[in-house]
Amino acid sequence: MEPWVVAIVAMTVYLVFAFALGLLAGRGRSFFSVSEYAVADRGLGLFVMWFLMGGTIFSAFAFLGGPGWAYSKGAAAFYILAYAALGLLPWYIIGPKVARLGARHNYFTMGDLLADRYQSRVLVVIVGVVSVLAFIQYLTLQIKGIAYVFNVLTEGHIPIWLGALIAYGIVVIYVITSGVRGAAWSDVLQAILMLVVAWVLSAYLVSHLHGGIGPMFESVAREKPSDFLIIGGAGSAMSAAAYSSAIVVSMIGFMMWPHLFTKSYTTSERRIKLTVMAYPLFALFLVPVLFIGFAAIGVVPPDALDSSDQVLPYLITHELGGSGLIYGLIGAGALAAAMSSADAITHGASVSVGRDVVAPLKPNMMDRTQLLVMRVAVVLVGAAAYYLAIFGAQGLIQLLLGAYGAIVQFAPSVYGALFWRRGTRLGAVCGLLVGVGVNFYFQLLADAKPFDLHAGLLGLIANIVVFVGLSLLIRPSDEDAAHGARFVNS
Amino acid sequence: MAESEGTTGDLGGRRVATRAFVLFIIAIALVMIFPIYGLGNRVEPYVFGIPFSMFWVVFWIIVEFFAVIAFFLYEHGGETK
Repeated sequence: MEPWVVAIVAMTVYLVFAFALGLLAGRGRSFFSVSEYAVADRGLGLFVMWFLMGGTIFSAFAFLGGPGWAYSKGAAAFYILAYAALGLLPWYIIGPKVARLGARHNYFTMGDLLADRYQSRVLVVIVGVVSVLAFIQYLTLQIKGIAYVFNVLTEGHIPIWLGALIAYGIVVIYVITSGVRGAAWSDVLQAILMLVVAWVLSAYLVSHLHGGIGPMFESVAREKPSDFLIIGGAGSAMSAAAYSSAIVVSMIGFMMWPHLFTKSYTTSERRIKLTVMAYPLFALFLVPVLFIGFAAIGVVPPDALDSSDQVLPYLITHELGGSGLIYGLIGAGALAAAMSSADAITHGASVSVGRDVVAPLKPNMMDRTQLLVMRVAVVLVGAAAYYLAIFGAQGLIQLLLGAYGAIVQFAPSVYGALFWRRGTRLGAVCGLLVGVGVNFYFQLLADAKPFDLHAGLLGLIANIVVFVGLSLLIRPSDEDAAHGARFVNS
Repeated sequence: MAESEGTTGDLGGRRVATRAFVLFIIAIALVMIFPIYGLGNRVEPYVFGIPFSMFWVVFWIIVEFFAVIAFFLYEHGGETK
């Protein structure tokens, strides 16, 4: 049988499994409850929680971009390990507190918490709009990954638009029917599959192409300039400041992604802490993924690739002898990686639209109406991301990139809400606006960044100065003071 | 901070180490970034075939893993469930 036929069969089998699991996850649960749809009635178990959070870092970025970074940027790829290892740590501190507040006051989103603390609808709508734009950007990346994998592994027999439509269509349907539970349970399958595929593939490539890890890195050292495997040298891809500030921004920003933040509402304090405990393991699981990229150095000629993200598909089609089984396994693994992120993000975006954008503008909505808005949003956000991934749109992409980088700017308001009683509404709103603006300017418009620092960090500095400065300058209203005390003490 | 008196009732008198955990987060982040990462930022010696700049990151991730387990056991170890 032709390899691409086997690949289609294997990917179809995987898709059927993922679909069935996603649909079954919601069985026997209330279809018409916002609490069930958004936060699984605050009752997700530990096992599911691990994979739900783990699945988010094993995205199309990790599966295609991780090897691509190692192959083209060398040591800068260690950033991915540091990011994955550090990103969830702050959750150990804020997660239990957010969970307590959420259960007591019936929150479902980050916007709910900020609205209650700062009593500002403007703040919530800004957070909602920035989040939804960033989600669309994130989703567009995943859908592009899905489409690309389908196209390469079926040797062009499935057109790009169709592969993405089928795989992502399945995600949209199970998110609509099963809410967060659908995303969570299919993530268990997807994360395990992707891990197994990545490890097997990495072990095979490293030994087949180089005969071991040691000889592989010796070959890298011969092939590349001497600074390739360190940070900040003349031949390095990243300066010391750029590398360090990117890690700091990722660490602060990771939990500010609304779809991750709201997971605090889906479980208990104990399970949050146990999830954080297991997370460094997920970072270690990424080590073999980077090996795939290092193994390609000296094997894959740089001018054979349009972009470094294609290094893994190139290795598969050129170095693995065109075995159908391997095509199929890798196809399923890559789909799993992209879909496990896509479902969580689609779900998060739909909750943000319903709860943080539409609800503040139209208060007194019934539960059922709000849920309908969320389910319609799944389709709309999905369609927008699909359109952008397949057909593109230059102007919009800039805007979306800016939003993507702006997520970390929620951090001062959120940490302020939890730990600082003197913060005020005005300070939070202005800080956020200035932070988003500064980030946008340095990320997209400026030619150079001061000290080569990450745009998000520059935005954060401006954000914190404005938030703290305005809050201290203007005496808080009695209302602000009361809410501040209530949040910090809970 | 979270370990203020107001919360001890909810937590059933459990041991909490929030402040120590915050310090731990800062410490583990610092070893991953410059200037401290500069100590590990070299190709040689290779450890298990891995360049030292990568081994440094992996080593501290392993340390982090056991440290978080230690924190959890300190805070929740005495609980029956």
